[in-house]
Amino acid sequence: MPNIKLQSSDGEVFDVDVDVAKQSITIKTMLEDLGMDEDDDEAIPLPNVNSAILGKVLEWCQFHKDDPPPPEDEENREKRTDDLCGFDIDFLKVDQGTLFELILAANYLDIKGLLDASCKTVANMIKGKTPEEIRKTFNIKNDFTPAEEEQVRKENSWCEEK
Amino acid sequence: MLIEKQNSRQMLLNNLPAELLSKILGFLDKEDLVNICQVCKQLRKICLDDLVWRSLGEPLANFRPNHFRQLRKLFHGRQESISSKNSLKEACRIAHNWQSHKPYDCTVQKFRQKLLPWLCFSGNALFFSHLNSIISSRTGSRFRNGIDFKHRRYYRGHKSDVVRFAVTDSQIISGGCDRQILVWNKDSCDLYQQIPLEGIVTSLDACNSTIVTGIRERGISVFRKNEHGFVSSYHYPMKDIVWTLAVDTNNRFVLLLFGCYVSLIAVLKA
Repeated sequence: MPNIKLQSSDGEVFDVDVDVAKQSITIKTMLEDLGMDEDDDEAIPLPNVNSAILGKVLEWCQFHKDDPPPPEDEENREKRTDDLCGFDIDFLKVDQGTLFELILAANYLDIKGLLDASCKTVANMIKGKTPEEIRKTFNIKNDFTPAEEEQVRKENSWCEEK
Repeated sequence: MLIEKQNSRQMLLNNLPAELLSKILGFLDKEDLVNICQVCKQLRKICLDDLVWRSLGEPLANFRPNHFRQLRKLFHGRQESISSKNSLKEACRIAHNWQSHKPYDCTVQKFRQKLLPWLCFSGNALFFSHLNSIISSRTGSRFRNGIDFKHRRYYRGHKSDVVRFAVTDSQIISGGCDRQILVWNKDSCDLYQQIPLEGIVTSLDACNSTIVTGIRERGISVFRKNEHGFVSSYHYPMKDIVWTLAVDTNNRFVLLLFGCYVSLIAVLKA
């Protein structure tokens, strides 16, 4: 298998199987647009991803390299969040900072599978929590005044009766 | 994007760009979304975006993707508004309320008019007023939600909004803000008769042989049918606004009326 070189924002160079790297649509397009030779020695710079995150991303791509391509149809997107595979669940058991940076990286590199899995993981962290519990979980400051809070609570009370 | 992380040691949820936050929130159910709305101002704003409600909108409010596109077009440029009116969230809220009161399914129709639409079932069709026309759709169990919204018939001719209309065996009779009553053939949608009035119609009812209409600041007018169509039979002057009235379907020529100030039901006999 031919390899390519990817360079993270902090200068580290990763030597990667082309098929693994091509799960990133961004890298795939770059390779096609630039017509890069596979034995080219020049590393592709990825200025938006640091080495720690890029390492994680490539680990994910390595595991998922034989997956079928995800469906294109955005409008009929599956809403389920309990369909993550065992690898993804363990892979995404990371601190919140890393998780959010993985989301950013997956978005930048355009890796749909990783983006969905990481977004679903965050959604699962939100599910079933009260507003106060959500604030605590994500360290978010409540910036409503008491009056605003009461108004927001009122306008969102329609879902409460079961 | 990632450069900001140097300032704060750990990246927070609300540092994510709005498009990614709405993608995350798109995986949530309505119960979780209303909780998210109450967390902070930034998340509340993102929750008002239709994108977040998109996958919920379809099963809940029967929103199809083309409805969604139409709605986006309709409110294009106003998405930034903090008001939740007319958003997909609002559609979900309304659908939720309907469902908790047990209608099993519903179709969201968007109206752009100040007057409320007037609804009427007759035979196998639903008639409703929309702006200056009356629209009819067939009903039956073979249609989605029982109503064939794809094929509509239009009764056109009013120059302004339709206030009230009535459906008789063969005709559609309507009164509008344009100070006239129009009579259509129910089957062909052809305009059959045009009756000019002295004022804006506030209420109207009709049976096969009689039209009764309340006219703003004028009172009540009664029209009876002869071989030439409907002709004015008599006028009953009143200072009160007649908000609603009904004519007996047995043609016994009895009117019930409800005034604005007196709030009573009066029965008039010819």
